[in-house]
Amino acid sequence: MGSTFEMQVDAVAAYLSKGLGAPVAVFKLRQTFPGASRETWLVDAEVAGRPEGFVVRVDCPGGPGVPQSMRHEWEVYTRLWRSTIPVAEPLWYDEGIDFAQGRPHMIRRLVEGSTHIPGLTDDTDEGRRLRRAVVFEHVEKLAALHRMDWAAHGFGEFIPAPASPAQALRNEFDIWKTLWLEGRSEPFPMMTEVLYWLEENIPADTPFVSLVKGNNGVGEEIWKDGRIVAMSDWELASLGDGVLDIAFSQGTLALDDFGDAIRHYEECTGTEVSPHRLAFCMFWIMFKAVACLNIYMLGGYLGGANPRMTRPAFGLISVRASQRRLAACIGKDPVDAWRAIAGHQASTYARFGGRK
Amino acid sequence: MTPSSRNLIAGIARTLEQDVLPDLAMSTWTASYIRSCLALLAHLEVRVVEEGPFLFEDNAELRSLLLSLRADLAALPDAAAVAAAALAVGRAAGDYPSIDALTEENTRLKSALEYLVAAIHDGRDTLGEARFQDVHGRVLAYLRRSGDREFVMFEKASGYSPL
Repeated sequence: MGSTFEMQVDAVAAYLSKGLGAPVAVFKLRQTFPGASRETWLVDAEVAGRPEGFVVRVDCPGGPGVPQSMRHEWEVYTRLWRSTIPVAEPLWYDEGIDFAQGRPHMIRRLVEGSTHIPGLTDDTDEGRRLRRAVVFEHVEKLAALHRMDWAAHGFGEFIPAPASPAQALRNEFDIWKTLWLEGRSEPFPMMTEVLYWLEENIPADTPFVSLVKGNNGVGEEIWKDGRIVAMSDWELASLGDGVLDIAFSQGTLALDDFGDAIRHYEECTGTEVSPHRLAFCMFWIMFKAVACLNIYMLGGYLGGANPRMTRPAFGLISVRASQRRLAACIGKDPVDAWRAIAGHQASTYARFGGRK
Repeated sequence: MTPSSRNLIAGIARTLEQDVLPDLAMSTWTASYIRSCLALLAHLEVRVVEEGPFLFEDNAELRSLLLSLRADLAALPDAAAVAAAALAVGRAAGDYPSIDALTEENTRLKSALEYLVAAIHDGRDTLGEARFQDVHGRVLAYLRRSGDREFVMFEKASGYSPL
């Protein structure tokens, strides 16, 4: 399928040759699916006769589906590469050049593994055991990330940090409320009501400030032999409350018993996750999704820079559906409200037959 | 007989869903673009019929709400002024309202209501608890009714994956 913005094998080969300072032959080039906030292209190549793989991560035409820049994601990768958190090796970043129509992009090495976990959705005892193991592995990687000393790795140099753990979710709320008010496509009085309801319920029991991944889960991370070997797609990385990642696992932590997943996270981090904090984060992620889909996904379409219908489909239909769910919760205790609607989130991974 | 817009949109969707999509691998962008189109067609199939009546009814109820709020928010003069300014712009009587005109009116009235929602919350102490509960209750009731009315245009579409 061709389009103006499709990556071309010859252009990618020439660009990688220049960047690596060696002749590169590209054998296979394909865009990963799903993943609509940025484009991710997998490259099977030969460099000076040796097989190697690369990933081209590039902003969509019309901009990404998130507020953070590609440069932000690049900075996250370069610091994590020097940490114990598994990520692919970042090679270089550029923007405003001939390649990819000038779109901001980064090149990283391809990590051996897959976003696909065979048998994960099988309705067998083995499938159930696999799902539990996958959930626990994912929880352990998130816990390690949340316990990482982000200041020592330089994340405070480019990400605004909350003044204290108690301020973590307040800080998050203020940042995103401003983004929403400045960028929404039309007046949303119901979302204003939702924001006041959320503001009344901001928890202050965050035990420590963490590097938060943002969108995460099966379908995002790279798996090999039952382990996550690379955590990928850091476009929403921020400094804040790690429970936001629990709420943004896109169904992954609910593949097995969700309560067990939370208890395992508590054991790994040595801290308690209060039901109020968990429920708030669940609703907060719903709001953040509405903000991203309306401001950035629909915005790119309305501006004319990205004609792909994925954008209005998300920015119009998904936003209205989420707004309706949130509206039904206004005035309720968040824990009660979440119990009433929990389970509506199907795993994105399972919905597409388990293959990215 | 000329087929209706709704009938044609439903026909296009049926063709894409039954004759095109099955031939495509599910986990590809090509299939995803078709699914996005199907979701939007499901929305349009209802919207072409319902949008005009929805906007007409919603604008009337919004006007009525803003009128009552203008009177009840005397303690918040800026908010009352925003309501008054939004209500001052009318539509010429007798004109057949186009969708664009109804949408423009709806956006203007909703923009004023959005401002009022914030003003009501921020001015809770000034209003007093009883007045706040009364005014806020009426706003929320309208927003829920309006949301339910509007969601008729999105209900079928939300059953489709946008990806």
